[in-house]
Amino acid sequence: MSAPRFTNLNTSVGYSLNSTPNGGSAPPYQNGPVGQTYTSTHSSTGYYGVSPHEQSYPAVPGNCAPAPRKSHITNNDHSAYYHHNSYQQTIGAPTVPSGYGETPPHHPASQPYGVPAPAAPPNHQHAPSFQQPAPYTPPGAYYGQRQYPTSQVQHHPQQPTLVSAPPVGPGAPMYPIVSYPSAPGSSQYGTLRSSRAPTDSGAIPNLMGAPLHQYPPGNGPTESAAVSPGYSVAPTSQQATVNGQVNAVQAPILQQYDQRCQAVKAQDPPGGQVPHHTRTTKGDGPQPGNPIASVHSSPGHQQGMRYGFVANSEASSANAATNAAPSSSSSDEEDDEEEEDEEAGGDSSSTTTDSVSPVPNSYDSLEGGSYPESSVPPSVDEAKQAPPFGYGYPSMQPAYQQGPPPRTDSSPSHCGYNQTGYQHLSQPFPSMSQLSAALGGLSGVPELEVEALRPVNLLQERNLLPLRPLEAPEPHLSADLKKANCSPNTFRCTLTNIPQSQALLNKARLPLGLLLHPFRDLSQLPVITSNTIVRCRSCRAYINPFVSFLDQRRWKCNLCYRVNDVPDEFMYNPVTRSYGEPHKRPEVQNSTVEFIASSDYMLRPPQPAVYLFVLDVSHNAVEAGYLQVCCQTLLENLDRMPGDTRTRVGFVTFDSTIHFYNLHESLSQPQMLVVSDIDDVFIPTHDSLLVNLKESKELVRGLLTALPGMFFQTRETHSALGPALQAAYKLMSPTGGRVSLFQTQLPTLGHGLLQSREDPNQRSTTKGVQHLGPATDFYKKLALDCSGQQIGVDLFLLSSQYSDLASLACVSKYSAGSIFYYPSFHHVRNPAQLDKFRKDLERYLTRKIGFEAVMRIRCTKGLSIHTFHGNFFVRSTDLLSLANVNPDSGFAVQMSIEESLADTSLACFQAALLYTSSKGKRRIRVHTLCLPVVSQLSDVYAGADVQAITCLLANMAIDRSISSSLSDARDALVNAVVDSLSAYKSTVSNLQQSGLIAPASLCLFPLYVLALLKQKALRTGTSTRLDERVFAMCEFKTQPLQQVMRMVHPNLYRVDAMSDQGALHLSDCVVPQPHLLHLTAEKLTREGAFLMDCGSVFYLWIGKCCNQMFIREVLGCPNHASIPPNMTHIPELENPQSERLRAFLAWLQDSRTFSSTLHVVKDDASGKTSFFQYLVEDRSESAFSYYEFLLHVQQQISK
Amino acid sequence: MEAAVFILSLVDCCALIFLAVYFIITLSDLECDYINARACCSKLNRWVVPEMVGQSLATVLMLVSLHWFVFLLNLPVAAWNMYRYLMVPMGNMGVFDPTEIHNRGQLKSHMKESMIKLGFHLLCFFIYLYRYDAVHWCLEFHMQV
Repeated sequence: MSAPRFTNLNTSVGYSLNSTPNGGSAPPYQNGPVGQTYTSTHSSTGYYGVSPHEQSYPAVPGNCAPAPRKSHITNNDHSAYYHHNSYQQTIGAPTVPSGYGETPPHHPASQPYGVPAPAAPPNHQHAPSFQQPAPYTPPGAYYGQRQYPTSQVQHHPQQPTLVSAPPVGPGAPMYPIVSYPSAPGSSQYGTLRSSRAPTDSGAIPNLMGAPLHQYPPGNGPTESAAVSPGYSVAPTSQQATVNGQVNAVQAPILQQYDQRCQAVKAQDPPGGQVPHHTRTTKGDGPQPGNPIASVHSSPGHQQGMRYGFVANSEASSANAATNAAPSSSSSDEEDDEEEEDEEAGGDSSSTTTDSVSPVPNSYDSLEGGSYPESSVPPSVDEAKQAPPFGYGYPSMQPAYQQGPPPRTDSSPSHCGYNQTGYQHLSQPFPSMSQLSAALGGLSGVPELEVEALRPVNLLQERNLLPLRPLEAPEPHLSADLKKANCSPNTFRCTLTNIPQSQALLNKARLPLGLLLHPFRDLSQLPVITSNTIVRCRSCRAYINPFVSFLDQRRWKCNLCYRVNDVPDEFMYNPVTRSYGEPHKRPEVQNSTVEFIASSDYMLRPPQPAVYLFVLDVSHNAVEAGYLQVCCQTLLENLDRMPGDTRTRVGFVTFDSTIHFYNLHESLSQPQMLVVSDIDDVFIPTHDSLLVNLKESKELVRGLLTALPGMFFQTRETHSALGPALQAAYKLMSPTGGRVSLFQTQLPTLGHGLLQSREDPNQRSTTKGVQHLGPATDFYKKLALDCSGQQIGVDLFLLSSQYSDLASLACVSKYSAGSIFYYPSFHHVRNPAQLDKFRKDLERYLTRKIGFEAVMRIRCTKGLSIHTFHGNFFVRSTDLLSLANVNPDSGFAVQMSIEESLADTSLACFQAALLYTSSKGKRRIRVHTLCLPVVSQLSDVYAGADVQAITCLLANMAIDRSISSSLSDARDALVNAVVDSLSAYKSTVSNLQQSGLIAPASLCLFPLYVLALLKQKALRTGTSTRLDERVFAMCEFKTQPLQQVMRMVHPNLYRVDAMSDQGALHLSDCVVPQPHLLHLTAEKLTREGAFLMDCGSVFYLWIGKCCNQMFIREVLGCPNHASIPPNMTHIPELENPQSERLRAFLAWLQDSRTFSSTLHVVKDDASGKTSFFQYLVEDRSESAFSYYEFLLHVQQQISK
Repeated sequence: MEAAVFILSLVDCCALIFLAVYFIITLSDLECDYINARACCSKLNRWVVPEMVGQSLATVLMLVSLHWFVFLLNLPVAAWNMYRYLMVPMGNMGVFDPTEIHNRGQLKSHMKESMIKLGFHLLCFFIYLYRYDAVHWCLEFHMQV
């Protein structure tokens, strides 16, 4: 039986166990809170249904005495009503007597908060005085300071006596019934878990053991194949190429599958519950995956699964039938592969399906559910994999050949790609073992080498930019290794030829490192379910395409060179259903694979998806108006958030106090619980602050609708961010999950409070920039605590003033979160930011997520990791702890060569990311990159990947500027250019000509470094806000390479006269391909319109004398003067010009995950500076122009 | 007096040797992944100040007893300890920071530093012992004569 099945059962077991105590809020836990000090908790309540204890406020003059509501009385078993000594709610409800008591639920915005009662003084006393524990002062005239008898307030939170609350008469506050299983500090789940542990472990062997051993032997491959009806037909374009030689056999295979599907359907009752992903290598002949064996689930379970399966098999058989004809060429021979379409978390029909599906293993069906995708012709598929670069080479080739610098490295190799691929693959088995020996690294295409080494005189050749965005250089490997190699979008090395010793590396003066984007959204990913995941016994590396098989039964690890045995199960090749072809297994065919991990890879049952939103609701936040957008976006995307039926959500808001929301499903309205003791934060109730999204969806919706209105009139200007984060940590620590923090100002209260450190007069100083590091270690410590409990904190900073991002960012940096920053955010004054925030948030909410992840990077013996860059906590020398992993974050790693690699010809790197998917499944994604090792300095230069080098240098420079100083970092960058070029000049090029010589592979290096020096993160002399600078630094560290390169060196295109010449013809549209232009004002003409792609922003610059026709057709304005100043989108007009531009924009947009905003910039004073700051080749008031920079470098070299 | 100074220095030096060994053991535990970075750093940071105090004490003792050579030997180490402690950036969790210890070969440099200190303290130990013995024998000799 396969692991996932076990997982399913296990999780369901865990879940049910879990749900009993939590969800039910069972009576045993409901004890009187006599022991608790809810200093100022209030049963609040979104809509202010009156809770019973409201009656106990009669002492407060001028207040309503609201009538108790029935609903609350019935509910109060589940909910905890708390009391407060100082009622600090700034909601304004108190002043609205009628609204308070009688507001109908689900009518939130209308009354209670919006309409201040004329009679009552409006919230006047919500000043800071509230925070003082002034509970015992005589009752004031206002509600806000309700006084309660001292006696009740004195309860200590730790007091464990749990006695049910005595009924309280009017006049004294009634203590709510609290569900407190233990002292407030301790976690309910913690205790639960420990008690559950034995049960689970008991269950595990059972569930797992049975399926493993109960296969009736002898059913043979037929059965195992039958299990996987759908997968066999999922064509991967890659495989289509790869497996070209088996095309002939395909049709029969397909038919067979089809029949088997039918067969399985026929046998449905006994065997139907087979989880559908047993398709994978169920082992060898004698131990095939027999579906019938899995008889261990409960009847209900079986039912569900069976139906699920039936549906699936039907779907897949149907698909098989339809696929058979058109895609016969693209069908593959590996029926243990499946495609996973988890693209861009955004669409996910799958998510929706899943969340509603009652079938426990519906995830499995979802994973296979990408058939429509797979029936697309392979060329399109391939294009989808790497939209900006991979599209339609044939059409691009002419353009390539025209290019002034004939950078042909990519196109020819692509041509060779397919042809050689077939031949090599068809070689018999032993050839695999000889590959590495035969390759010798450089058996590739020698002329490429020559081209990459062609000396370029930078001072003379001006048009160095390629016509299309630069691509990653191909490592010079033999064709089939090249084909198997990891995609450069996922895994990239700064030197595609690894120098064989540190001495050689030092001579080259180039940094050696990796750039990773491990959790990228992939359109195709082989997912493997297997009982044993084959790994090297000494270095624990996963088997990959670059291992060598010594003979049938042994393989040699390519990282540590240990010889390992091939397990029996691995010998069976489900593709051909033959025994003894381990090298044809998908693990050995694909360098990016995903394994479904067994329980060996779990420390605890996989956690559910848990999302906690921590929202700033202080005056500043309300003023900025983000809450409305945020809640709205959340509401819209609630169903699209990745997760399954176990998904849990929670909300915490904070100003100077912390508000929790009880969302228990049995309540009719959300209840607000206020904790004002920010010095020692505690969680008022444990069981219903994080609720099952599915069960409490109505309440969550209600809360989100009500939230923006609730704080509409707040006057509270303080922000207790630190305590709110501590509360979030306490709330989440039993499960782990994701905390999304929205903050709008400098934290001013409690732990972690910060002072303003920025001196606005120093913004444009050329002397050192101070305060790039954190001011306190509070956030760092908290982040490490969070990381330890598998909590990732994502920070959204929406602030108009200085908020010390340098300190706040630490909370995300070390807990593997992401950081979003919206400077001068305002919902009215800055619509562009608002729009960006909305779009980012949408992507953020719907993107894939992995929980409790770790990533280990292994490399060939002799190489070692020197430094990591990115957001994570480095747990040991090669292990990164990622509480959450998201598809948009990249990592960089600096390597050093510790031992000589002279005795090997290939160096390999393997990144393995173990995570829990949002569906509660443990998975391992493994990427392997293989590169040749060289001994010549010229080869090292020939293999230099200038983009990767630039990114790695940017990361290093940022580290340097924080640990040392900004000017140091800038000097180091310039020195990097000077050193590498002078090393090249003195060692490799033997031309004695004057001028600045660079190898063609590095000819853009000075330009990129100059662009780096002009980035917000590293520039001096130009006025830059400290927060923006720090944010730019964070982005460099976490963005994947393509995005960083677009930020560093934006792509500039002329778009007013785009033609269809050389355009890409996609299935539904034609995308024009304008040429890249150098980033200099020289290239701009007043007659043209130019599009600049800066990664997260597009600028469309319209020249003064731009063609009226273009303006009219594209922008819908009669002339240049009438273009509105803040235009942020292009109208959809029905004419070829407009369609072309929009197709181009959409195509550019496709290649990135966060949607970029568009700014139309007119050629006049207003928007010009933002556009012109990106023209990095021009001189700015404080920085070199490109030519000056080259001269400077040359001067430094000749010194 | 002389003897007391050296006895005190000897004890101090022993403590520093133990501390250096402890540092080395803990760091190598981290290197081998027996403990996690967080635990390791909090363990080590606890002993940074005592180490500094111990080293300063030895230096001061040598100064007051006017042993210039040994004083000058100790001074740079004490100054280095002090400098290292004072130069910790505000956001870091002490001399040993769990988030940075695996980066930029810091672990190795910490290790090297501890090794050098261990060697230095051993050297000092024998110097003190020798001096003490010398003083001691001197006294005995005088008494005998």
